[in-house]
Amino acid sequence: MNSERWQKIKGLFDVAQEIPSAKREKFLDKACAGDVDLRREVENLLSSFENPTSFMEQPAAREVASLIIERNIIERNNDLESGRMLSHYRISSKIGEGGMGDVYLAKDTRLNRRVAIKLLSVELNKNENHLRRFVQEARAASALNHPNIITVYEIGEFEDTHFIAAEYIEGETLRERLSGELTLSEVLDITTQMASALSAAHKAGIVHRDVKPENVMIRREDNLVKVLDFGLAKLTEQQAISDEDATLAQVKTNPGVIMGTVAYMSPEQARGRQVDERTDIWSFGAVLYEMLAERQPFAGETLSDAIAAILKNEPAPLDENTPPELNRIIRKTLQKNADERYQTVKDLLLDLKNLKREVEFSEEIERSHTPSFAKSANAAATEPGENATAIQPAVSTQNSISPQTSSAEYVIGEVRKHKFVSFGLLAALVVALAAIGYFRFFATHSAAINSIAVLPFVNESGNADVEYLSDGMTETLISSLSQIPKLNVKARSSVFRYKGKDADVQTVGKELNVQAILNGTVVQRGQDLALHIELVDAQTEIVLWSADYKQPMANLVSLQNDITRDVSGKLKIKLSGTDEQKLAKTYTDNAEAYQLYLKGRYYWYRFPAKEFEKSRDYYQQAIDIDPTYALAYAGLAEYYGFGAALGVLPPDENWSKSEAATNKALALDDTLPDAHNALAGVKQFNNDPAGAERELRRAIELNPNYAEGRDHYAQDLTDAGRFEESLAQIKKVLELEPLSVRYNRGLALFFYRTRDYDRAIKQYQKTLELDPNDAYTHELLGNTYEQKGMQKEAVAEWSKALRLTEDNDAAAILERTFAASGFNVAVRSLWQRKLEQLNEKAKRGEFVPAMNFAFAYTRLADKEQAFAWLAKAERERNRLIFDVKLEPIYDSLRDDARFQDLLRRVGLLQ
Amino acid sequence: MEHSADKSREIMRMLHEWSDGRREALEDLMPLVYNELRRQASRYLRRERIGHTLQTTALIHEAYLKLIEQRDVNWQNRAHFFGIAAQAMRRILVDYAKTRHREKRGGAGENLPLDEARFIAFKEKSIDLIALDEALTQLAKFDDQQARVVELRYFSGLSIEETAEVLKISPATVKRDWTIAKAWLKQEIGK
Repeated sequence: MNSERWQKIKGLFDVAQEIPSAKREKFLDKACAGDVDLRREVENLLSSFENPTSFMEQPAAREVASLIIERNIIERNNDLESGRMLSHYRISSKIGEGGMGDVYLAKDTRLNRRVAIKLLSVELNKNENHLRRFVQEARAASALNHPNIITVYEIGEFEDTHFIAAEYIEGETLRERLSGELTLSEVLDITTQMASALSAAHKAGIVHRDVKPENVMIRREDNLVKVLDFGLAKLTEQQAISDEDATLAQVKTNPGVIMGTVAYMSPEQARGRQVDERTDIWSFGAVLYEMLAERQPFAGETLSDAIAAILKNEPAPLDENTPPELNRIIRKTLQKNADERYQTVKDLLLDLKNLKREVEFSEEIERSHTPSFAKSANAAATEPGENATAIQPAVSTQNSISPQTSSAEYVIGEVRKHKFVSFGLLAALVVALAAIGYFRFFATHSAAINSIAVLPFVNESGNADVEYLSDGMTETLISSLSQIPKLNVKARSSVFRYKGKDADVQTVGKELNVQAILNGTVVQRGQDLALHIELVDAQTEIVLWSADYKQPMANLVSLQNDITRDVSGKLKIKLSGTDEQKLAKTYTDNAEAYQLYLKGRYYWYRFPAKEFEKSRDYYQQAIDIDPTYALAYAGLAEYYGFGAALGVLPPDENWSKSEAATNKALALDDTLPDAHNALAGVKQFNNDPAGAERELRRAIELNPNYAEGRDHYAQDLTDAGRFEESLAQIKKVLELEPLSVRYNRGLALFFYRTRDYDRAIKQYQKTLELDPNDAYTHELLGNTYEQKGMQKEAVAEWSKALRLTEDNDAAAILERTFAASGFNVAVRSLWQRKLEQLNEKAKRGEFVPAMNFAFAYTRLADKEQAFAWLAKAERERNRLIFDVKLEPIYDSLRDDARFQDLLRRVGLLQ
Repeated sequence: MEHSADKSREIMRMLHEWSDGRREALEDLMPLVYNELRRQASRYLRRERIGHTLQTTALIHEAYLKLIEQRDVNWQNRAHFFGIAAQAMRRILVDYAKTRHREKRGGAGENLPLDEARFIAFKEKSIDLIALDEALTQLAKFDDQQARVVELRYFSGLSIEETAEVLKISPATVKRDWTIAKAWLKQEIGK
């Protein structure tokens, strides 16, 4: 086609498409004047134009984007191409593959440096639970700062793919290094560095879980050892335990990876039990063994053979030239029973360092003196369980070399060579004994208890007045035990649902998912207090331990302390010095102040009953007796802050009182999460959202299990529109408190506010399974149905809520009007009635938050009144006002300029 | 878009270099555009919602705003910028489709797991960008203005009015050109 002809076609087309098709024929007949081709061209164009299928309606990018969605999914199963950008990292090349995902060399385009990017594999990316855990763990690990631990720069997410950007190390893995020859001093050099890394991590409470040659890098330029992937194994591990199919699938798809990891797995890992730092000690031992023996200590043709070897077999003895001390170290790392291993890497590191010095020293001597000097060092340090007579205490060598080590009992001795044989025999015997002990150990009782629920102590005094004491002692024990890092202690609100109920141990254990249950009874007779406590295995119901205490009331504080100490001792959890200190912290030494505080707590938890206001007086009395009682101040701060925030107390001086109490509490002890939480509320209302966020983060940092603080944070985040972060916090709260009605409802409310009504409905229903009589949940579920347009369901839920709050009349009216006059009239009549009730309440002199009126008037479509009350609500300074941001009911006001002004004024997190 | 200013500057630089004849500049631009597309696509996925227009050409618009702000002398005028940007977008998007096409033929996309296939299910019947590109090249041979209208509208995402402004013709002309060009292209591709 040439442009002249095209112009002609174009001209005809332009005219033809404007005229009705009936007249077109005639027009074209005339215009084309017998030019058949021309006519066909125009007709084709016209029919193409009139063809209704959409064509080029969306920009091309849209087409490509849908290709990308498709491609993205495929791509994640394939390698990333070089040059591809992942966030601000430009991928260069793939440098490794692992069970967790592939590793790429990339360039950080912002900082212009090379980094290693580890991409999480597709499988692992899928499960949100695993991901959250992974991110948590990786964050913790990234905080480690040690020359032998790889530096993590960033834990990021890009297009739903999680990745870790870490220091790029030019060198080889220990696996690669193992293919060559290693001298003894090289082995010791590498392993002491590894141990040093592990020791630093353990000190920070991080267990590696997957120590193996693939996870150790040796830098080319200086042989500096770097341990990689701290804590990441948790991800696959959890998956393996929780999901057998997934494991099988993984074995099928990636047998090499699994096998590679299995060889270094500790017996407790192989059994799928909880692990602690001693697992790393085992795996470390297995690596050390392999470095010396050039074979793995526990190997098998198949996965189950390998696991069986770990559980049952002893590794073949090492070369007889191996220094006995090294044999001893390995043996002590590869004890099947974790209690018989080195208990800390620190001890192991010490032994390694000593040995290393000796070996270096002996090699020095060897070079300068006797060429035949065995590269062996002997240690006479023996375990109590080992036969000390078989190995002589240290003797000097003939050369009279006194070792330059700090531990004088280690000496170098070629004279001792002849003892090796007997030592080997002995070692075998010790190992055999250990194996027997190991099996017996597992047959009779399990290892440390990692999760516990302290059920509310039963008050058997026959006097309800001392209920505060049984409740309070329970609570104190719970919060003390919560300080233990590796112990999962169910929070107060989860266990107090069992108060006064005769729940059996197994059921509770299952519902709360704990290994052990602590039961207690409290009897107060005159000035004496008697307690009986039992620690029960939740599965077998076997009483693991029980104790009786009898003390005068005056010793209440120390009694509480004794209980905490004894219980934590029975849980067999190793505690650091600081943990022990935390555990022993009492906040007051005065029994009377403590009792008053417990009374304060008791009434505090009576909320929403009006009695909760009594807590303030008790806290105050406790402070009067002990003015340094930080916890009591925190209680006061919480009281005023809570009252102010939720509009349950009149809006007088609450915020300033809360602030005063908070400052006092924090001045006495700045590690109280409750106080930071209360301060956050104060800051929020002093228009310092950033400050509020800092306080909340601090509270959570101080106690990551602090559900209350996380819940508060989640609400602030929701109000600020930071939904993803909020959801993460809410989910964490629910992990901590899966059975809490309040928190489950909170998640539903989140969905409602973000207008995901389907999810909201599901979650409300789930909440009602926990407590079918929770009126508030029924009301909120009704609101959600209303938004979905499910009017019948909405009315049903609302009337349930009304009946549960014993407003049967209102329920009846609602149902009747709905049946007779439809939904809108019914809603109006309901809110007319509610408004009257609010007015009556206010007339009686009770405080009614202005927001309640604002809401009622909005429901009644009385805009002017609604705005008048919103203005009042703003002056009241409670967080109910934040509701305006997301509550769908206020949508009817949203277009009004006054509403927009209000939104601007309400200070929220940024 | 924390680094949008940097990004805009980068885009302008690359577009300029490309228009000056440095062919690799387009290669440099590609990842930027792809990333933007991916970012949008992934957001789109996460919301699992259809009908939300992908503002992928927002990149170009943003860059242009910066251009005006900075009175960048490298660019003669708005039309120049958008002309180049549209051509670049066309090249990039078509190349993308080509790569994708090759992969598909290679079978990489064949065994999508079911749950992932679900995500793709909402995808509408897509236009064959490769064929469209070829047809557009044909069209340019006898009506360059129309081809440019298509580039600006379709590949750069400009509105009728914007296109008119860039090409310094009336919106009515753009509309007419756009209509007939679409009709012709559709017919051409359908052959």
